[in-house]
Amino acid sequence: MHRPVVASSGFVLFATGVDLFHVTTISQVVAVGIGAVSLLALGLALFMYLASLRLAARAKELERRVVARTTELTAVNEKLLKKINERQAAKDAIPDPEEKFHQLADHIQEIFWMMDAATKHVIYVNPAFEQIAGRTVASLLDAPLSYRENIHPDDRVRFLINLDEAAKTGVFDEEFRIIRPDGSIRWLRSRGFPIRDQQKNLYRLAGIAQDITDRKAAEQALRESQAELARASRIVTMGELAASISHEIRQPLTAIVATGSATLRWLTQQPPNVDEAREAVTGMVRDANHASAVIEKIRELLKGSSPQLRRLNVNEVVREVLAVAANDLVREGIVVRTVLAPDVPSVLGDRVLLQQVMLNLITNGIDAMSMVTGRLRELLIHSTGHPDGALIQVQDSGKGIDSEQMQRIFEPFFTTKAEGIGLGLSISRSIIEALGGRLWAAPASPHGAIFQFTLPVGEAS
Amino acid sequence: MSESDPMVYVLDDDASVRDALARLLRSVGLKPDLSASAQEFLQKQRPEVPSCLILDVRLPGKNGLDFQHELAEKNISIPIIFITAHGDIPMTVRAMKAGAVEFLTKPFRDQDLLDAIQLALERDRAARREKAERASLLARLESLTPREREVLPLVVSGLLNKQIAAEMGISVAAVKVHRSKLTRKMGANSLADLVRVAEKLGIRGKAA
Repeated sequence: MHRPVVASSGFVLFATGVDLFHVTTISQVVAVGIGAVSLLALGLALFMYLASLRLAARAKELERRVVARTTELTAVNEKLLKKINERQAAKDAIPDPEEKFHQLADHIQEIFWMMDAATKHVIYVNPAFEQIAGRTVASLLDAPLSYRENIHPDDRVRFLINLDEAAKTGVFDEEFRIIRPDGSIRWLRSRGFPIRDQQKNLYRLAGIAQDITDRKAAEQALRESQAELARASRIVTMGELAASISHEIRQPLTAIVATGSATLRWLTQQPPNVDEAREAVTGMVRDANHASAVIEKIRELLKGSSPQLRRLNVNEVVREVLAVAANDLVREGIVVRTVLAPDVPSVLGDRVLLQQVMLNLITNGIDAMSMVTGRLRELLIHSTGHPDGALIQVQDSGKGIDSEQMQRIFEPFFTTKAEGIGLGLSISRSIIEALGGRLWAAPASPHGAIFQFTLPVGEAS
Repeated sequence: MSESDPMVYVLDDDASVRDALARLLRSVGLKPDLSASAQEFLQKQRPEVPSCLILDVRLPGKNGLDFQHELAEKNISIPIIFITAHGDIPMTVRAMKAGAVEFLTKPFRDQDLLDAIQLALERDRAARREKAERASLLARLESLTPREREVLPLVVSGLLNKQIAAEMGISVAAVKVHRSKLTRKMGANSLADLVRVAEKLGIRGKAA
């Protein structure tokens, strides 16, 4: 940078390269100097003009350079930004397991749970637990077995038994009720999966529990309407049958009563009209015989079509009937165990009739256990080969049958139930015997009863 | 049994019931007449004697209640005692509303049926009496001259002879003649008697 030099004579000497900044300063100096010399002022003005032109050119050049430099810097900067963004994006793409898990676990509506397989202590539940169970996660983790207290008493035993089983097998799938602190009841379905350590030992269970209360309510409504329908159609059928039977029987009875009344009148006349009376009594005998023929006809009618004999796998029949009875079994808190021999021989039977027998035996088992408290309600269904063909056993842990009852339970109209009509076992035995098998009962140990039947092997066709 | 002995018709498709009812009726001195179908009953010549019908609700191809309706439409008036081997309350209500005497469920006590028959026959007797009376009154009405038939409603309205004369534009003397003739022809002894007879025929006095 060139500095202006001020001479003592008042002349101003300029060095080349005065920059724009100093123009004002020069002007001020010049102004002091020109007071006496106007000519000099004119020259100076010209000089100033020329100088300003040069200055403008320089400024322009400077500006150009700045712009160029700025462009350069901007480009570099953009490159850097791009790189940074790329790195960030790459970084974002790499999962951060903890964060991802929390985003999932904190926002999903199902309960995520994890427990120690040995102690059954809950190790983790996600916040959905609070929404569904109505208590805090912290309260559960503080008392890691306290989830048991939330389970409905009717479901608790079954739940705990199956959880014990799950600790060994790693497989858990239960539907059960919980009672929330406010007393409301929710249905949950909980499924668990095994977590194994490096030695393949199962050491934890993890799972998902879902609130299925709405689904259960819908199922319940459907079941009720189905049951209602079934009941209604049964009543209609029974009602029609009863009406038809009663009509057929009432006709001859009407004739007998009317003729009997007439006979009494003939005989009480003075003198008695024996001829009319004899004829009337003959009519009564005929009518009574007619009534009896009507009953015989109805019996034949009720026998209906002959059974449809087919080769059947009894295990399939057992599973079908268990599916039908599942709701009752769950409602009564009954644990069902099936030991079905895969190689059980095929039998010759009528599927529908066998289903009726199975359903009857299972229903009896359920009823027998309905009053059982303080011990497990357990229904064991066992199928196996037998010298006679196949053997199917249905064992309950109910109140059992005393020896006096045991003598009579297969009699028609004998029942130990408050609301039974006493035909189930009688009909079941008739069916099994009609199929060439045997049905009998025995006490079970330590509680309950075993009902079992054999069926002959179906001929290979 | 005399000419006017009542008739008890039995309509039931069950032969044993028909025969038994016939025996029961004969044992109390009633005269049964049996039909196995509605058609058979309709084709019968029914003497003009007190009668009733014991009708089974279930007829071949027909409902006893519908047959009750059919009889009413054919203007056959006969008291009906329903018998049924499967009656229900709505059916009973319907039958009774349509004028049935009784609704008995088979098998019924003989006395219940006999009581119902007595009631039915009594009703039919009353109905027949009324019908006969009405027929004779109609015959009397038929015997009136057109003028007398014109005067009758005015008389039973309680109008005085001169009012009737003014109304009809005839002389009081002529009214007197018509009046005494029609009263005699209608078998009435007094104005009150004439009013009652006219009422039975559905003739109302004209409003004055």
